[in-house]
Order: sequence, then C-alpha cells, then structure tokens
Amino acid sequence: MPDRLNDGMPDLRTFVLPARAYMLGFRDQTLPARRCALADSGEAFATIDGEGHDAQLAVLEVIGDSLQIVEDVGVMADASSMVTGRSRSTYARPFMTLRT
Amino acid sequence: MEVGDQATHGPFGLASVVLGLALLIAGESLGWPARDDVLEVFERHDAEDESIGVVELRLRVTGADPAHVDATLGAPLSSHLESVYQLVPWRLAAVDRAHQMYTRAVADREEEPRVTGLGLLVLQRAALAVEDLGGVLYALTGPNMWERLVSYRVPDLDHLFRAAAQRELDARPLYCLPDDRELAEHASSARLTALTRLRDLTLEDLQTKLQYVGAYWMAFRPVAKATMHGFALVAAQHLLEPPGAGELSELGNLDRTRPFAVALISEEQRDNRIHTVWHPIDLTPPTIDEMVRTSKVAADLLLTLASFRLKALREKLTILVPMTHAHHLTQEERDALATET
Repeated sequence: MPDRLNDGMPDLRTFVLPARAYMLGFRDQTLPARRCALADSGEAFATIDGEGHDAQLAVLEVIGDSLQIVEDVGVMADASSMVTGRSRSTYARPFMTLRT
Repeated sequence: MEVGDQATHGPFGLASVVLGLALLIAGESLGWPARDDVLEVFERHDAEDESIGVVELRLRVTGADPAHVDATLGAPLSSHLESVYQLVPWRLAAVDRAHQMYTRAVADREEEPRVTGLGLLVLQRAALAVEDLGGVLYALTGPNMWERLVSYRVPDLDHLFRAAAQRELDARPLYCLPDDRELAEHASSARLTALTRLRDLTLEDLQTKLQYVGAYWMAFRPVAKATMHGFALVAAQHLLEPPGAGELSELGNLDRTRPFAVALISEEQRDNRIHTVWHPIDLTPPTIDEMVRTSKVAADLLLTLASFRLKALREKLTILVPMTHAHHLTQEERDALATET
C-alpha cells in the first residue's frame, strides 16, 4: 500500500526516500568526488610547461572534469522534468524509479 | 513547469523544489560564478558561430612513406598511434593520482560516501584507459579505420570486449603477427620452429591480456559510464542507514562488504515504462587495486599495438614477430634465430 500522509503528499517509499538518498549521495559522494577530480586535473595542468601535446591532454582533462559537473546538473534537471511527465530523455535517470 | 498526476508525483511542482535544492547544493558547494564572468563566457563563445573551434589540419607521419601511409592506416590514424606514446602515460598518471586520493581517504577513515566517490573516480579513469584501447582496436577491425575511431559507440566496444573476454577476438592480425602460412613462406627451415614458438608466445600473452581487459570492461562499463553521465549512484550509507532509501533499498541484496555503491541505470521501454537496473559495485581496496592493474594492462596492450603498427608502417612490413618473449625460447631456438639476420 502506498505510504501517504494524505492525498497531497508523494509516496514515501517510491518518491521521498529514494530522492532523499540520491540527493544525499549527490552532496556527500558525487560533489566531493567531482571537486577532487577537478582540483586534481587543474593541478596537473598547472605542472605542464609549454603548449605541446601534454598541455592539450591536460586541458582536455580539465574540460572533461568540469563538463561532468555541468552534465550532473543537466541530468538532474531533466530527471526532475521527467517526474512531471514532460521529458522522455534517456538521460532522465536518477528519479526514474519513480515511474516503475 | 508542467504538473503531472498529483496523487503520484506530489503537489504543484515538488520536482521544482527538489531541483532547486539540488542546484542550491551544487552552487554552494562549487561556488556561484560572478554574473559578469558568466556573460563574458557567452560573449566569447557564441553558440551560433560555427567557425569557432574549427581548425583544418594537414597531417604527415614522420619516418614513413606518405603513399604507404595513405594506402594502409591513413595519416590521421597513424598520427593518433604516434600520440599514444603521450596519451598512455597521461592516462596512467591520472589513474595513479585518483588511486592516491582514494588510498589517503581510506587511511584517514574519511566518511564512507567520500571514499566511494574517490573509488568511483579511480574506476572512471581506469575505464577511460581501457576505452582508449577499445577505440583503436575497433578502428582496426574494419574498413574506414579513422571513421571507426571517431564514431564508435558504446555497443561497438561492448561487442569487441565481449569477444575479447571470451577469447574470440583474434589479436594476430591486429598486432601484425604472421599466420602459419606466412611463417612458412618467409622463415627459413632452420628458424621456422623458433619463430613459430615466438609468435605463439606473443599471441598467447596478448590474448590473455585482452581477455582480462575485456572482462573488466563488461563488468564495470555500465557503472563507469554512470559516473561520467549524471552520477546516478547511491552510497551504501544512504541505502542502509535509517530511514533508508525506500524502494531503492529493496531492489537487491545489501548484505555486502563495505564500502560499496549502487548505480541505478534506467531505460525507457517501448511501452514507455521505465526499467531500472540495480548495479552494486564493490569499492573495497582490493577491487580498486584491480582496477588500477587493469588500466596498466590496457595501457600495455595499446602501447604494444601502436609500436607494432608504426614499425610495420615505417618499414613497410605486413607481418612481424617481436623478440619480446625470446627469453622463453630454448638455447637451441635462440641459436637458430641468431645464425641468420
């Protein structure tokens, strides 16, 4: 049986607790890892002299690590719109279990 | 924002609140950029201006006949193989740095989600090293090699690595090793036995390493890709500790060695239903060490591939037998190889 406090509240088991776990994971697991990765690739870039292929690889790594954070936000935004039934994007992952 | 069925999804844009909180956390954690800096970026990088970032290149491979290059690998792929000598150390250094951060976090007994996050970073960087290898192998297994390298998709690499894991990917032609007929044609009778054994030893080594790397890719690829695209991974702590994660805590067996995380990978089915696959991933130090080892094996395979292919290109060879495993030959076999050049 759905666990609702009243008709206006979303289901705890299928909505609130999964979303809570994901958001806590985002705060405690994803963001620290993203920040470490970005700081690390930034420091690695800072050690490179010149503009040779090593420097190009270092820049690409910084771009990759920074874009991943942007994509995280995009995924979350798209997943949230999925909840309202607006999006069918395969990117809409985090909250998709709400639809099962 | 459009509002769905309230009974199921909550009243008036609860999703908006969740998204807002997420953005707030992200903003506070990463730091809000200054408005003028943001606007300046948009002014410098006009999305409509297609000329930005487009540079025409003319590639020439040094030390090789240009006509032969064009007739075989082509200049772009040859140039890419040259760059492998810089790419591989760079990848391995990135894996090593992530491994050091993970090891420090474990030693300092940091919070479990932070440890799993760094473990997942090791996994991601090791997977990129494996993907570097997969891309080149995929390119070399069909026509239009450069096109294949720059346009492969994940299922292409899955197909390739699945075959490698089952020892069904034939490394011999990929690494320019001769078959029995070619050996018989090109080797003198005195050297045939030694060269055949040398070829077999090289091939066995390559197939074993490819099997190892292929198995890793097939086991970890879904989670590695999840870390790159959205990070839909829940830490064990948030699944296990009260109040739990609702139905996420019920999808599979959580009685596992910690630390671990669970990737939630969803696909929309044809009937618009969402199917979510639950991928638990062990992030204990032995598993992380295994990831690092795999990246080194993949790096070795890619460097070997590049060196064999470039040697064949420069010397206009179609086949070669490296001496890497010559120390495994008998003295008689080594003498046979030494008597002729």
